[in-house]
Amino acid sequence: MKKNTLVALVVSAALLLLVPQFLKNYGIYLLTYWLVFVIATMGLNLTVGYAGQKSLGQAAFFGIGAYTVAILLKAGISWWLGLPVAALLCFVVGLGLGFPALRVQTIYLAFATLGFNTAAWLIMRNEEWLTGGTFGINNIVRPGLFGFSLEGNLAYYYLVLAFAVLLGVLLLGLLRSPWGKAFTALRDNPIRAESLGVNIRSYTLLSFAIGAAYAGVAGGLFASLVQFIEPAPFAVGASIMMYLMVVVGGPGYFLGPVVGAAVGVVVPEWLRDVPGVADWYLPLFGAAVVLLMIWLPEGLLSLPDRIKAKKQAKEASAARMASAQAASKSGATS
Amino acid sequence: MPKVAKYIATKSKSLAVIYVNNDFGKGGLDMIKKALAGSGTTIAAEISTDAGQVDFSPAVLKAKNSNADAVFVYSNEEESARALRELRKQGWTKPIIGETTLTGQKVIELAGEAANGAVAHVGLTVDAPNPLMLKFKAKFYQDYKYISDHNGIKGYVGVYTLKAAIDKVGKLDRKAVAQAMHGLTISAAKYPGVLMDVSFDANGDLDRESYLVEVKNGKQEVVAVLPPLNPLKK
Amino acid sequence: MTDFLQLFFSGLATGSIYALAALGFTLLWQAAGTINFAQGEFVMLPAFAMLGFISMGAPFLLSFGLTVIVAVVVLGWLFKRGLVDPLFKFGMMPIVVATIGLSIAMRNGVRAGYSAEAHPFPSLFADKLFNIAGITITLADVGTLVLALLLVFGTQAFLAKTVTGRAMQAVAQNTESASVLGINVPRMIFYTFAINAVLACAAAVLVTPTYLAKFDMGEGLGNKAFFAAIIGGFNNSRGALLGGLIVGVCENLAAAYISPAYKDAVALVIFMIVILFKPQGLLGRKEERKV
Repeated sequence: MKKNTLVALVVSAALLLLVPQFLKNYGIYLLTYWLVFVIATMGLNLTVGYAGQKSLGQAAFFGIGAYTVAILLKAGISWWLGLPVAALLCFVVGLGLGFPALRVQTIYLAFATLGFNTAAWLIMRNEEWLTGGTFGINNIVRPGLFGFSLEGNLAYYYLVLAFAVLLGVLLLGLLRSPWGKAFTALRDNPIRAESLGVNIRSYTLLSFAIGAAYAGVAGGLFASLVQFIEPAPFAVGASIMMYLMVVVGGPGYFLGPVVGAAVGVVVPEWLRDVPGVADWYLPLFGAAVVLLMIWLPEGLLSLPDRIKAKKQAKEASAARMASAQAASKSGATS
Repeated sequence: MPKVAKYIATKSKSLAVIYVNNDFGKGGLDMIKKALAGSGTTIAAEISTDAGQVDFSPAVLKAKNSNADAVFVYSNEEESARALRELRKQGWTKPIIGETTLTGQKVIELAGEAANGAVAHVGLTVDAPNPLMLKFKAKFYQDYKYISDHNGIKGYVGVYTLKAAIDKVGKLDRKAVAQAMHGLTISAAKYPGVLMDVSFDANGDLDRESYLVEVKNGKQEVVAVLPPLNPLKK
Repeated sequence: MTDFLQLFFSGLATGSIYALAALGFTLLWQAAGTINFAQGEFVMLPAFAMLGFISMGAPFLLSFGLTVIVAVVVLGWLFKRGLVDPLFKFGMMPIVVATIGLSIAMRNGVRAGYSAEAHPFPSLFADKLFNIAGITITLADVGTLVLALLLVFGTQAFLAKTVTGRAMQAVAQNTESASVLGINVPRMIFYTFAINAVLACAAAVLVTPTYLAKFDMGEGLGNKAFFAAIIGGFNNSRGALLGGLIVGVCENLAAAYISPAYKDAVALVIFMIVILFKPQGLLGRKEERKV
């Protein structure tokens, strides 16, 4: 790969591995929290950014993953077994959510997924026998690996980091494969894609299912991170925030979720201590989203592309001018 | 809750409970059920309502149809105000009883006329005839320019209560501190931040001096002072 | 039976509130192709604006007038020029996302800048109760329903019978042909936003006495409005009314007869059924999609 990319990779790896050693509990917790959301929004990026579906229900899968792992832990089933079960369950439910996507378009789909999220949240809140209702589930343990306990904040951070990297690499592989091309074809022009032989139905369902499974894994990691879950973080507002994280980072850009999750999760915590600004984080975020849509609708990560495109446009028009002058010169003499 | 249960037992034989469907409301429902167990007053209906609910007609209808002779309202400010209004609208003339929120200043403001006659067991009010409390009221007003309600008091007292528990344990250990709070007694003389002597029983329930407040003509009036169930030996 | 009727009439009252919010939403979609996720907040802001004017000493009617002017400028003109115009060429989703951002900004801006508490709001109607055959209705319930009906049918009539209204519809159906016919397209679109702003003010006056002025009053209202609009038929003003009333009544009946804990699911269930079987809504016309 290109030298620049290699250098960037090494530097980021170093930062991700070493910085937490110097942070206190709160900082480590914050970084872990951010990584959990990176995983969840990576999945959403597939559904929304690459496959062009409108999903405002990601937090529901986040919650289903979290509750599945927590409930199974309470029943005595190992976390390492609970996590894949959670991912599988979310995959199946995600497939189910894909079905309305086949029948309705865009804004109706957005509302349908919003409705699904509300329904899921209502079940989480009302069915106390299963989920503990508003009292939630407490004392969720963190897993152990080969005899090592991952109970400590730093150890758990590395576990989440490992998951994030693994899932990221998987996603990258998926996107670079012919499947990835099919997803983007689905996003850009579904009718044309169908006429080229891409099975719209399967890919639509799959984009929801895979996105959901990612959120499910993130949810399981979330449950053990916070060690207490209740319905509130899985409500519609959280889905909307996740959607905005994808949009702010740049839908369809692989590292979009990394940026978006940082903006959505880390920045408000930083700002909390800044006097005068703390209360205004959300209004500023909202205003920033509006401005972003007007000036940079493809997200923050589209900035380099924009600058490159502008440069290319300038060069092209300069070249055109030069050739026009050359042509008029030669034309004048002939 | 035991104190308001005692009051309810003197006023009614069957109670309808309107509660908000979250851990605050459900906790309240559980507590009032426990407190009334064996008192001779039965729970005629448990009526769940949502946070942010606007239309209370189904809830009030259920209360009326349960033939309860009093209603206990346990919800947040706006919802309590709406419940009071709907009760007034549907002609409920029987006792309306609640906890601190129900007769709070905000609810009186929002419910207007409909708040008159509501009675609540108030644990914390800035108007308590207690020197530490009055000092708190003044300092709060100085800093924030408005009169604190019970939420402000709770926030303040909560932190100092936690401090007392942490002091007892000696370090900040989640489980140990939670354990220490069960059965803990904090005297206001030693920790003025808690404003009033408070003790926790083995279940973690609070015991403190409190008041019975009735809304008359849009104003809170303390109609009775209720001492703690187990007063501290001075 | 009186129980059922009591629930029905209370539901109509709540439903007319949803209908008012849904009406502006439908209008913006019909006439300007804009999905406004901030519609709830568009009702919340005039409510607080009125409280502001009233607290400065202005009488009710004057406050309302001033609020309408402020709303038309901010929620009409500024919204159109600042947000919709630059984003229109990018399609629907950027506008949706921008309005989501706008709703977050407005809601939390009021919370941080004004107050996080609920405030009482003066009612247009006196506090009178009617007791008919065992059912209690307030004057406000009846008044809100009547005014909602008037506003809906008035909007419908305006769009169908007046020249301006017809021009607005033409712009919605086929912008290019409309401009070829000499219709001032930007002005028609502006009228749409202005009307939405005025409707939002009317909604604010009618709903806030019950909802109480709070920074998050728009959230629940907006959500219900979307579902009501889609259920009734997105491209039809009367659809907004029907959708709102259906949602209001069914919620109450479900809360009383099925389960109060799942009250919020009622709008969703009706919504899902409608979009799966009649996606254009109960009163809507089928729309063709360009491919």
